[in-house]
Amino acid sequence: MNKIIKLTSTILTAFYMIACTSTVPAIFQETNDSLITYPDYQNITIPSNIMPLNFEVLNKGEKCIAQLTAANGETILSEGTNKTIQFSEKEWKKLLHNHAGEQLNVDVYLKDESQWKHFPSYQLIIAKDSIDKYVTYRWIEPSYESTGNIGIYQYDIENGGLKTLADNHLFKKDPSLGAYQTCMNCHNKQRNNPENSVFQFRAQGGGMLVTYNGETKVISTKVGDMEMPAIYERWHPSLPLIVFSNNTVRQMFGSRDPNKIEAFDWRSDILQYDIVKNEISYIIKTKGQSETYPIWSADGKYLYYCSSDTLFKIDKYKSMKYDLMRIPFDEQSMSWGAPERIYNASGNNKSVSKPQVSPDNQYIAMTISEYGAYHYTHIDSDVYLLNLTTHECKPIEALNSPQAEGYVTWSSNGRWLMVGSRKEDGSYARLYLSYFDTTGTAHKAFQLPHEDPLFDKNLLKNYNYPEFGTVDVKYTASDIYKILEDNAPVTPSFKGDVEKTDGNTGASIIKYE
Amino acid sequence: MEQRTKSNYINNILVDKRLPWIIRALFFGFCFIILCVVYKDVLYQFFWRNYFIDNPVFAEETVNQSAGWMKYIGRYLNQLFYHPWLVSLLISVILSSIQLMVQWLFDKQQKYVPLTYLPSVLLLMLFLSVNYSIFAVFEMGFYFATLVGTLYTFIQYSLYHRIKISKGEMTAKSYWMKASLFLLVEILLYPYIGIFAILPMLMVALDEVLQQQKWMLVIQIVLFFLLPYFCIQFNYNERYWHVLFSPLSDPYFKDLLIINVSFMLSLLLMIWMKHRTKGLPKIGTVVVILAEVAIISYGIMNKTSQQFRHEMKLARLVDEKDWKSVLKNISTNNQITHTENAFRVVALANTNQLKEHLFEMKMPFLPNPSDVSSDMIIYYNDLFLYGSFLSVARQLNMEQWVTIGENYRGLRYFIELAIIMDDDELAKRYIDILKQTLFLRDAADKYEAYLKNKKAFYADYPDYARVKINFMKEDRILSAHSFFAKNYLKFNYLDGDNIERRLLAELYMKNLDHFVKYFTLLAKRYPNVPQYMQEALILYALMKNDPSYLKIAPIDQQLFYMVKSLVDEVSRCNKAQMEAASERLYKKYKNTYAYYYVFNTEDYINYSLK
Repeated sequence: MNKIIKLTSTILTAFYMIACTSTVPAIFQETNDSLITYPDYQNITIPSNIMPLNFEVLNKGEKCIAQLTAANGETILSEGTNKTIQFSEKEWKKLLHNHAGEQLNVDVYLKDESQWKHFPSYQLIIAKDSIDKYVTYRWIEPSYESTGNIGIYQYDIENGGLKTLADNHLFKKDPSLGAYQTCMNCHNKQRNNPENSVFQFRAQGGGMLVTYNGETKVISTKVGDMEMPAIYERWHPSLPLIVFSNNTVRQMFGSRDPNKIEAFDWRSDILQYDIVKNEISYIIKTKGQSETYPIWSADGKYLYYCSSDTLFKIDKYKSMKYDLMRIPFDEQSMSWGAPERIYNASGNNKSVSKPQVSPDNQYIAMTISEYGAYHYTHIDSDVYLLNLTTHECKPIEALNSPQAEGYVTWSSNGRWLMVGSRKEDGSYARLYLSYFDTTGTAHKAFQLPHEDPLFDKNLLKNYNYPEFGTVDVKYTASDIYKILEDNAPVTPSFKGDVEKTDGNTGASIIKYE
Repeated sequence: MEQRTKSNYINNILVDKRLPWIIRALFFGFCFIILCVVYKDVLYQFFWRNYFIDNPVFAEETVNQSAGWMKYIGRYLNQLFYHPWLVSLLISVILSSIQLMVQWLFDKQQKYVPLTYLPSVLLLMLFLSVNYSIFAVFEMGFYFATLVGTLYTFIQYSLYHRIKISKGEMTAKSYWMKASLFLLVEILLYPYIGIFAILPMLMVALDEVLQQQKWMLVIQIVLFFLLPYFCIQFNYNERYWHVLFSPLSDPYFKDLLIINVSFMLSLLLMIWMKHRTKGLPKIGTVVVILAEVAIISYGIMNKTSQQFRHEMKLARLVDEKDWKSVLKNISTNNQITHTENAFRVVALANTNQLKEHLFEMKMPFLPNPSDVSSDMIIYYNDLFLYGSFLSVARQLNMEQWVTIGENYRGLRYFIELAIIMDDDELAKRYIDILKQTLFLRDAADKYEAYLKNKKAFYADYPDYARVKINFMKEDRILSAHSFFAKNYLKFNYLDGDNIERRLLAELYMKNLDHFVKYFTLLAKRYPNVPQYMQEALILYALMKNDPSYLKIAPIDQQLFYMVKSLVDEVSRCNKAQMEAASERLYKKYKNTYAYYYVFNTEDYINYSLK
């Protein structure tokens, strides 16, 4: 069906373009008015392999024309119907390909009351660094507790193609399967073998879906004395090893809370799943702390995570503040060292969340808010950059807004950052891309483009847990349903003394200063 | 022979040139009146529970389902419910036209006229039987998807019989060519219009079986089961059983499924009747007429349907903020459903009458006669919105949005809540969506203007001004799962209506210790202490055996003796007598807080006044 719609749309567009070959108006008036567009793509740095940055002009007028001009005079042009500019994908790609590393001039003309006016030109800088072809994310409505229609999708940044990797729609429609309790999250690929991936599908017969060497298995991760199964998981960059936190998440709604919804971990520890041994064991198990969001360094020698020395209490939830920790990992012996505090956020009365290590191991991008680990609703949450060499930590202003920035991640080459931000309205998160240059400076963030520029405006869903991807995920939602229906979850063995375990052997109660 | 003559006599009357048109006109008028008058409030809900947004996001989501085109068309046409008289007229015209088509296609000799009304009657019944399923069936494009699909069925069936591949007599070759063409159309259209691609060919197949050509029926039966299987290979997130009858309502709604299947069987019955040489016998005619009358009567008069219409009327009055009419329309039998009580409490609160009438109704409230959805869906948003629990109202609205589906009512709630909560950018997002509707664009423009002029908003919606004033001044953690009255107890500041609501919540929760503690501080607020509060003080004084509590506020002596008399009577009852006492004392003490305190509990038999 998608193909039919796309084909029809392409034929109509082609027909329209043949029928209406536009030119820049011969007569127009210069205006100093600011050009207002949705999305805002003015004066940004873009990758050379990105799809057309279509937009709608919001200034008063009837129709508009936009022209992109390269330094050598090569141009492409689009005439907007209903003030919507949609460039030809073929022309756009050719222009960007021919002028990578250069600057494009954008001229927008707007017809208002039968007179054309020309806004001040703006520039698009085409970076030589390309961006990963794919983005995976979850779509979910904001601020509720029961299960809605949730799905994990793969979006092709180069052509706008969308593929559903997994969704719960089937279970939602079938009350006998516990329709209202199916959730999924966190699609993560292995850095060095991106065809290996993992995500959680919490439904009847669900679990952690691990795709390893082309085979997808459902793993039941609630073993031993675990209160909850795996929630947030990460592949080791090269080993068949997945670490995860098992969070007992609770949600609360405040009467006047500008954050609208508060999520907290009642309990959380960090564990590992050894795929080859089919074995789960604790990495960090504490009674007085709460650990979450494990993330590997690019070389796999450290596991970073967030840890709070205060456990959740309903009347003191704001005292739950997470520091950034890391624990060394020895690949040869598969053993863990002692944890160390990398960034003492609680000392500054702040809390860190969702750290992401840059591919060159130089930086950690993360969100910082006043409290908690679920910052996606916190209006004070901003993206910060921690320099692992100088230990300097500062906000990345180019990505931040007065609303919540809840998630940040790196492209595989480390030159692009992607952030999930609620800056449009404080409720619906959208994805923004930003060029991160070799000097460590992030450039103005711009919204993930769509063929229909109003797509995000009309979408009443949040973008959640975005990740870049370099290779096409092989499976689709249909395959996942088949896997879930045809295969009983595999229950791994549990290693470790449940009551008392040792810190450096895989299952531990670790004390640290 | 004699029977045949009588049958012919009746049919002769029916085939009179004018009489069929008179009957048809009566059927049309009946449909129109039932829809426009009796089901007026249901039509209103049909509009607000529908959701059609004219943008590619919505189109793609809807079309990419089994029978997606039919669902899309159905949801588009459902917008017409905005104009109840227009949509009543349209549905009546369609139902009458269906009868006309049935007669034209199958009963040209008018041998069994009453039976030709059966498909239309069942389609009307389908509408009349939607009841509480209304909160979940709109993703299917209910109700217009069925009507449009039926019209398509007749067109395709008619085309099959009218199209001739070759001139002159049909040869085997031309028959095969025509049949193949129509089978191809059926298979190609199936993913887009679902069962309505199969239905006309199923009718054709029955036609041909009755002419001794069986292979078409075999093919159709195979396709009936096979096409849904192919369809779910593309619509991976739908179950076979859901696709089988799509876009007709989900098999989960059993009442509707029975009617849908009956409707399809009625069309097949028409084919069978077409091939009969005999007309309906007299007794058959009478039975058919009586059955049709019975079907419609049951649809309108059954208890669930009546209760549903009553609650939908209250829901509309609440939407219109016509509180006096809400109270006027609450059932007077003192035992009402949860939904009615919720609307009653909302109306009492908005007319400042809670302190006089909160404890009037007899508990436990009746559950809604619905097996499809929780009755909370109907009233929960209003209850929390007008109770100034705005974040809870917003959360509940979202819970409903994601579980029972998107709808205009939910969208309107999001907008109004965002305006009241000064969440203007969020309100703008929703308003921009509302602008992409057929009939709510003006409303969207109005809401947009309110964003720039909040005073105008509160002037036009004074009830929301009160909601805003009573909105908690500080942040308190709330949970939607808490009982409503428990949330009121979280009002910990002493101003305006909130403190009164808190006092009433203490009474509601029967926390007399708390009530007396707070009331002691607030007694001066009331020059004339409301009766419920006086009763609570008297009860407390009697239970604590401490008359000093009676000095907190002026107490009416007659009231004192009334409460004391109730307490004495209850004290004299043993457990075995409590049930009888509940009924006996209700007549004497109904509408009093003292009665509520003792008897309005699930386990009053084991209750003791200590």
